[in-house]
Amino acid sequence: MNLFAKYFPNAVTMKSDFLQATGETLYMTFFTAVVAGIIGMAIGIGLIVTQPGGILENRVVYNILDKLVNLCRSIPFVILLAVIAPLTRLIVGTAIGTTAAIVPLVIGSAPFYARQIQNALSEVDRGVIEAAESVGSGPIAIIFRVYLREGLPDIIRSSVLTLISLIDLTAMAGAIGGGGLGNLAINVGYSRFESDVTFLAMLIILVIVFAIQLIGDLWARKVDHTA
Amino acid sequence: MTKEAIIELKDIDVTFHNKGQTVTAVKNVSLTVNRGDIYGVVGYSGAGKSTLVRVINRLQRPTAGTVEVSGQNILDLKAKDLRVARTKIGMIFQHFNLMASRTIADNVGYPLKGGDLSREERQQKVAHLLDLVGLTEKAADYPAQLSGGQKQRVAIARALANDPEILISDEATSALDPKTTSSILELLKRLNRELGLTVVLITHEMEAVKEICNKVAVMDDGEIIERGDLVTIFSRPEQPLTQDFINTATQINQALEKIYKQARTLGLDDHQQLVQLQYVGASTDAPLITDLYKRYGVVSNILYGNVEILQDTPLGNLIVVMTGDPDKLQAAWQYCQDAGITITHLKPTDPEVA
Repeated sequence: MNLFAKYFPNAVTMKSDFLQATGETLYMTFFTAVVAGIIGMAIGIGLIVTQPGGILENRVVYNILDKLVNLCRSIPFVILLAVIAPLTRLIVGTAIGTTAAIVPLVIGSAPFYARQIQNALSEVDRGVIEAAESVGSGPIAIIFRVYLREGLPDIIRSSVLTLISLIDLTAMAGAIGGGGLGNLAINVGYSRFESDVTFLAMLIILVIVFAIQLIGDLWARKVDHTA
Repeated sequence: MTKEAIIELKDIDVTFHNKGQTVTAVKNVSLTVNRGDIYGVVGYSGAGKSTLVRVINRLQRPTAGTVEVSGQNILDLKAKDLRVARTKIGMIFQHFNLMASRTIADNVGYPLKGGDLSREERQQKVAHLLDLVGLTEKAADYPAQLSGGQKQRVAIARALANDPEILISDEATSALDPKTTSSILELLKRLNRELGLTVVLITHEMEAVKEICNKVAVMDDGEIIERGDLVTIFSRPEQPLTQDFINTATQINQALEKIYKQARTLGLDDHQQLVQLQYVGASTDAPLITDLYKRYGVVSNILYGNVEILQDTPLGNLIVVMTGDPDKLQAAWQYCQDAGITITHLKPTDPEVA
């Protein structure tokens, strides 16, 4: 502990701040993941089934979804945070704080996730879909029993990727008033020249990221029966 | 077996539009398959065979024409009724199209999900289907652990899960080695015999057709150029493409190629003639070669011989060099023709195959 105090002279006195900040980061990540996960999954599936040659081919719906995803993904997140503030106020009541940060985080990560899901599902063999159609499966059955089931290993890998990029976004949202480890690293560590605080915040984020990556990899390997 | 039509395709056209280009994959094709048939559709890749059979279960909607399966107009069906109709039309594919994430038992049971059967009934049915294709001990394995032939057996079991009346086989043996191909064809034949399953077999290999089909249609460039029962097509093919397919299947092409190379060095004159004798049915039994010698003094040297049994009818091919006086040779050939044997005179210098 002495060694820790020696190298982290400021951080050692801020145990409760770090606990709270870590909690906030996990809170933002978790709720954004749930909401953005559902929205992104729905849009991703929508893209796959309505795309040219898809099981519910629909040029209009596909183009709308496709353009919407591209549009949202083109806006830099820092700018999105500011632009979206009125909407955030409308939904949450305030534009500042951890809960408020979830709104821009969802808008920032859902389109990214949608693209990831689309890519993952496009790996599902067209022949398998055709085989399912040939035994009389309808669109709903094909989505849930074929696409999501067959695409699961890739869906898990994409989800890990999205989660990690989401943690990146929470740090950015945190820095401009959302709380969490990003806030701690920038507004405390960086602004007050307490670089050990910045460094520890980064270490904690690294641990979270590695943990997610590890669990995701193991899970994906477990459900992958292709080889 | 009743001779009632189970599949009736009439005047089918299938046209694809792709980037301003119009491709007609199937042109004005009519095809009737009777209950209990094993109907082979043969053609090179790109001939439109796969597109044509996909019209049967409306995986491909035709641009024009009518499709009737078991008396039902397939093109008029609503989405829900089409799905019910599809359960009665099983399909197997060249690349098996199994779900990698499901066990063998789960793959076979997939078509039964969401159906009326209870969990136990479903398990019983899957066990029965796996037994039918001889893969009971593989139930808990995943497709990646199986060989190609085993995967195709799983696919067949899956296609049969809803007790279909028709099985469409889309190049199902094309990715398999010859031995496995035979065993899969044998299985299809058994299913045809035991379950009364009507089979539509698409292939580019006449060998497959030869083994199990009772009828065959030859497709080229979107059209059916020749069709009929197997023995007729094999014994009297009219179109060059059909002849080519058959000669490849009976390995006459390969034999001729070797014989031609050799014949050039033999130096045949007008006392020696290279001929192909083809005979169908009973005439296979007659001691022809001996007869020709006794009656006309014509000596026949057999270079190649082959007998196929098609639908219990023998079909024989002989390539011989006949030696004798020119007028005796003429008489010998006349004798052969009178006996119902088809004679083709082969010219070693001619690269074209008879």
